[in-house]
Amino acid sequence: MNILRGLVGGALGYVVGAGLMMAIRSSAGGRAWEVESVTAGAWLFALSGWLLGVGVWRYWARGWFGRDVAPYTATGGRRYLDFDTDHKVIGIQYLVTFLGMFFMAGLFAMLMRWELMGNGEDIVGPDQYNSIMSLHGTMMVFVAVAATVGAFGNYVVPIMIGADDMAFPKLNAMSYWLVPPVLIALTASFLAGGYDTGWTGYAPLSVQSDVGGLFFNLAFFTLGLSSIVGAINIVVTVVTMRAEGMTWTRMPIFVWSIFVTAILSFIFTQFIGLAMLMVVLDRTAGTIFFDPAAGGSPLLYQHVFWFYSHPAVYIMILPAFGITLELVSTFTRKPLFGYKWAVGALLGIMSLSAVVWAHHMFTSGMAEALRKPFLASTELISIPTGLIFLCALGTLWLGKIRFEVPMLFALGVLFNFLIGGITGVFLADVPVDIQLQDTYFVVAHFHYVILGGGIFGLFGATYYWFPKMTGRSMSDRLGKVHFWWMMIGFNATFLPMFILGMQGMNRRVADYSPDLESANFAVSMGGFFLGTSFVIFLFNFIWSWARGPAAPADPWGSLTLEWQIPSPPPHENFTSPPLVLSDPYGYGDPDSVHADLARDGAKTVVEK
Amino acid sequence: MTDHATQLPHVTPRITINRAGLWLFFLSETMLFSGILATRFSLLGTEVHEDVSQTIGLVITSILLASSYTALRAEHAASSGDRATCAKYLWLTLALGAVFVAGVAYEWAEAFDAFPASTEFGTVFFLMTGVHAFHVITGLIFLAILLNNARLGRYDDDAWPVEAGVKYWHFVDVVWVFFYPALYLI
Amino acid sequence: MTILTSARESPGQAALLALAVLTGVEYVIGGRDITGAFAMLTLIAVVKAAVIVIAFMHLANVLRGSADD
Ligand SMILES: [Cu+2]
Repeated sequence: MNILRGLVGGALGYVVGAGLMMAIRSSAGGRAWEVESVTAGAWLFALSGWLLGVGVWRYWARGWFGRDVAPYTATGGRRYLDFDTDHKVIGIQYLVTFLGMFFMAGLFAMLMRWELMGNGEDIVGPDQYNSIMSLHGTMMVFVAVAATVGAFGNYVVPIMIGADDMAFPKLNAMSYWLVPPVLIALTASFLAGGYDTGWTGYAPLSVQSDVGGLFFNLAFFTLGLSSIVGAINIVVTVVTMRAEGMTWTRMPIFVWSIFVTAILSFIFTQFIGLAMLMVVLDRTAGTIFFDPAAGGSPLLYQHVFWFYSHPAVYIMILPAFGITLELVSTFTRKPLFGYKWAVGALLGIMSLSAVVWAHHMFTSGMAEALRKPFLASTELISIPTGLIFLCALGTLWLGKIRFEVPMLFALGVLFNFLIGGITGVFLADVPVDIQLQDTYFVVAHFHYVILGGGIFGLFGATYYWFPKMTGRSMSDRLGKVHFWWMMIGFNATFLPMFILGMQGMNRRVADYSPDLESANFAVSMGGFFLGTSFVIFLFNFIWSWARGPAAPADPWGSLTLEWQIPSPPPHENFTSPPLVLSDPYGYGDPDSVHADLARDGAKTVVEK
Repeated sequence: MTDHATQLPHVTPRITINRAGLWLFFLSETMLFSGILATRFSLLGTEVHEDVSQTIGLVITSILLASSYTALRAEHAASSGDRATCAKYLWLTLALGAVFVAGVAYEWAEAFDAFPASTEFGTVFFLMTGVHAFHVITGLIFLAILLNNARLGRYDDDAWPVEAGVKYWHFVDVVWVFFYPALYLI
Repeated sequence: MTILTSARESPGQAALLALAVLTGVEYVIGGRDITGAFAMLTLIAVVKAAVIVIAFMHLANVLRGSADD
């Protein structure tokens, strides 16, 4: 119902905005209707209309005009379709939305591998191929940026720090409800014929692309808004809402990883907004930011874009690091090795990530003097990253490892990210990069990092917290089958790509030289194998949610706060305010108590 | 009780939480405007080639600074529960802000001929003034809502919305403190 | 306008005065061809921003985390 209101609001907003734009255009002496200018200007109005309709007006903004806000009455399953402010509802909304986006983008990947299976143009032409490739990349990047932070940053972090909700519950709901317009814009882009720039949207190609490119810009811009609002919320929550005794050094490492991710997100995401804005202005308002003939600079786009998008790589991967360390400690039954070093490493990565962006531009024609410093700063990042690895290995060392499904995924992250990280060192090296730029070596590298690291972490987290979120257990056997199927399929797909890249196969093209055909056939087979593994996951996920056996409060024997309360947790999370007494990694020490949840006293209440 | 004297109390006052969020928002927005400034210097270097009107620049800058002061007065009045004074100063702030927007609009009308968006300087000029004016206009909308509510006494108990709106207004002014010399003076 | 002269309000007025003076200096520097004008303008802008952030926006309140204004 509220979604319908949102759609009506969005449509009305679009009409109002479009009318305004057309009035401005015709008063400036131009043709009133021109789809790009009008849509770009109307988008903000449409966005506002959508938000107001979907719940901001009824539950929030009416108060600004002295009216009573509507009572929130949705219960049960309807809450997941409404403007619900419970962080647990929002976490699940994020999880389901972005898993859906992940599978859509995965289907596009299947199409790409189908096209590349044989030499020549098989099913789609080069333009269509690039559109599919661009949509695949864009949607997967959105998933990697927002899925883990949105789902588990929302669901788990407040409970882990002993809070009853996020600091700004209404803003939290708003940041989720900014996501559907992203989907709408991407769909509009698809229907308008897509765009061929890839998710990086380099100018000047992106300025010249069809109207589908405009919707890509609007989608990215909107996701950026959502990220910034969500990230500020997480930072404030972690800083101000921790339970008594939850000192900085007692925080679970997953909370640290999400905290650092959120800092990166609210600082750097502004730059993707700016990059998208400038492209839109070049497309619609006649500005010349990226037009070298008129004094603009295409390199400017790459600087602004990568100033966000390199830190974004850490927005994608740091949550997976946090999950991995959390799982390794839990399933090894040992305290996290080198906790403070791990925190320091997260902070180190956060700081360094601001000064490495131009390693994406070694072949772009930027000033040559910039190459060496960016080579050096990039390779420096392997130090804190290595520290995180050492913390994981130190925890595993001589541990009695329980190979539960989440743990398998954590080990998968370690294995895959090792390959992704080490090949990253090669790519940071200027001479090697000049050879390998824009080849499948790069494709393989970042899939090892983002899919092998980030998405394996996402699935590990899903298996780990599913019992807490739904109150039901997932099938262990299907989970194990899924892991090994996905792990083998993943490596079979992407390991050969390193070789393809070294043999000179370019990325972002629908065809390749005939001698690469057998290798590409093998990669495609691996890709289809990888793709089918998610059918098992989907079945397990849906079936277990509907029919799975009831889950105990703490199926994994974990000590963090979310496992000390029922599955699923009650609305207010805790019945009395937790008193945190020590860190949550006291495995093997029977006297260790992370928190006292049953002490007397007033309930933790932060007025909303 | 535990052994920590320094840790946060487990219920942070709402006003502190709100302020933390607002300032983080300012920090985030600062990155946007820094990016815009960096773009300006990257495209134009440290010279201004075009003839922007020095008089208008000085006048609208002074007006915006003055409006920050009236906004501050409104906030103080609101925090001491003085509805009438608060409303009066919000009115003044709104009026000054509107004059600022009018000044920018006048500049734009001149700019369409003197240095249109298809020139280097025009591109930068429209980006900087445009994004800033967008923030000024949203600020004016907030101030108008505040004015309406302040008159009706809705902030007598809790002046946080006034504080937030006024701080946002100050922030927009801080941005202009950097944009003014970058557009007009160097 | 008695309220204008109460002691509690004076920091705002002092800050406004400082901003006005600095803006005047800025304007004069901008109108002439002085070496080091860029550095001076940058410095003035930073000072003006600091005045607004400290005197108008009460940065100290949020850093202290205190509940009073
Ligand atoms: Cu990078």
